[in-house]
Parts: sequence; structure tokens; C-alpha cells
Amino acid sequence: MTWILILGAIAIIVLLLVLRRTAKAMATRQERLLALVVMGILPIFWLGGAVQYTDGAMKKVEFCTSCHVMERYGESLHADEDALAATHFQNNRVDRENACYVCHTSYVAFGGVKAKIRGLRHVQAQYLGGHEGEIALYEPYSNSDCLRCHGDARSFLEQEWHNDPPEFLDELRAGDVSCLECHEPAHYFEDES
Amino acid sequence: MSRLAALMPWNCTDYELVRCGTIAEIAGIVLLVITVLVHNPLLLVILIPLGSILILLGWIAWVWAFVRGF
Repeated sequence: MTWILILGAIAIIVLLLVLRRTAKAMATRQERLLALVVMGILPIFWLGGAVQYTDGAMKKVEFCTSCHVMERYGESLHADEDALAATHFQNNRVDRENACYVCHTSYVAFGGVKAKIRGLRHVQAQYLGGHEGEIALYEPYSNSDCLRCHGDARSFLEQEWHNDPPEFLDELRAGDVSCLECHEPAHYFEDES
Repeated sequence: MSRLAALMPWNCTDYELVRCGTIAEIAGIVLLVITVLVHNPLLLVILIPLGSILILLGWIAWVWAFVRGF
């Protein structure tokens, strides 16, 4: 995909340079049609492809852990301890390439947009400072993010603890009780052991 | 006409609009190629909006020229 975008960019730039040189002499309908494609259509399609590609790259674990404070969270995915992030990552329960994004983007309307806005704050904190001490989630981890995958899983629905008492399942679905109350820690850090 | 006023799109010829538009689109594409190659958070935050705006400005210049009869 990278090379397709780069070759596409080179081709469009060459065509734009040709158009720039010949624009003054363009008189026929065909020449104007060519200008429409070269200047009006190709760059817009290429822009869409490039933004989509870069958006995909920003969801990858390597991107998230490229900031110093997130390095230990990346390492925690490979921990031997029985922590949520590690077991999900190591047992392929989440898309490994995009593990951070999959678990930390609330599956609600504009969840991805909120994540991008928060990402801007993270860039500010990384390069301009502005955050001291331990980092934490902006708000408590939502059960809906867990239940998106586990919610209708037989292993979840028939789990003894999840049905004792029977209304406990509804409390979990409503978010009255956090999944993390029982299933902690979310991340295990070797340097804290 | 001041030099600034002469640069305004409504004072440009169709040919000048197309020439400026191609340059803006080329600049925008070059900036976005950098974001495709280098996934640095700071570069992405700066170059994606800048590159996108340049391409869109070039596109608007072309549409402007086209509507006027280029």
C-alpha cells in the first residue's frame, strides 16, 4: 500500500507539472477533460487514500508505544503474568497489530473521533510536556468495550460467577459493576513486581 | 492594485489560478508522502492538516478556474 501511494503521488506530480506547463495552450475539450482528471479528480482520490492509510498506521501498537510513557504498556502486552492486556494480546483475542486502539476506543458514536482528539493531547504532552506522574485513563474503563466481544459469548453468559446472583449479568451490562473489579490488573508491569 | 490584492483569486486569470493550484496540490502531496513514510506523531499532527488543506486549496483554485470557463 505504501508503494502504491508513493507511485501514485509521483505519477500525479508529474502530470500536474505537465499540466502547469501546458495550461496556457489548452483549448480543446479533450485537453480540458485531462485537466479535470489530473487536477480535479486524481489528487482528491489520492488524498483520501493517503489519509486513510495514515489513519490506519496511527492505530498500530508501534505507533501508540512510540511515545516514551507508553513503552511500558507495550512491554506489558508480552508479560508472562495473567493480566488482561497480555492474555488478550498473546492469545489473539484482539487484532494484535491494533491492540491498543481496539481496546481503548469506546464503541459508541464518535468513539474514534474522541480518541483522535485525545491523541492530540497526548502529542502535546509528549513534545511540549504538561503531564507529571502516573498516567491514567480519562474515565473509568467502560464495560461496553469488554461486552462488545464478550457480551453474547457462551463462555461469558454461562460463566457461574456472572450469574450469581442472576441479575448480576444485567448489572454488568448496565455498567453498575466494572469488569475490572474481578478481572484485574489490566496491565502488568515488570518494574512494579 | 496592491501586490496583495493582485494575489487574490478573483484578480487572477484562469491560467494563473491553474498554475497556483497545481503548485498547491504538488506541495500538499509531497507533505502527505512524508506522513505515509514517517509515522512520527508530531509530524502527522502538523503535516496531515497542512497537506490536506494545500490539496483542497489547489482543488478549489481549479474549480474556480473551471467555473469561470477555463
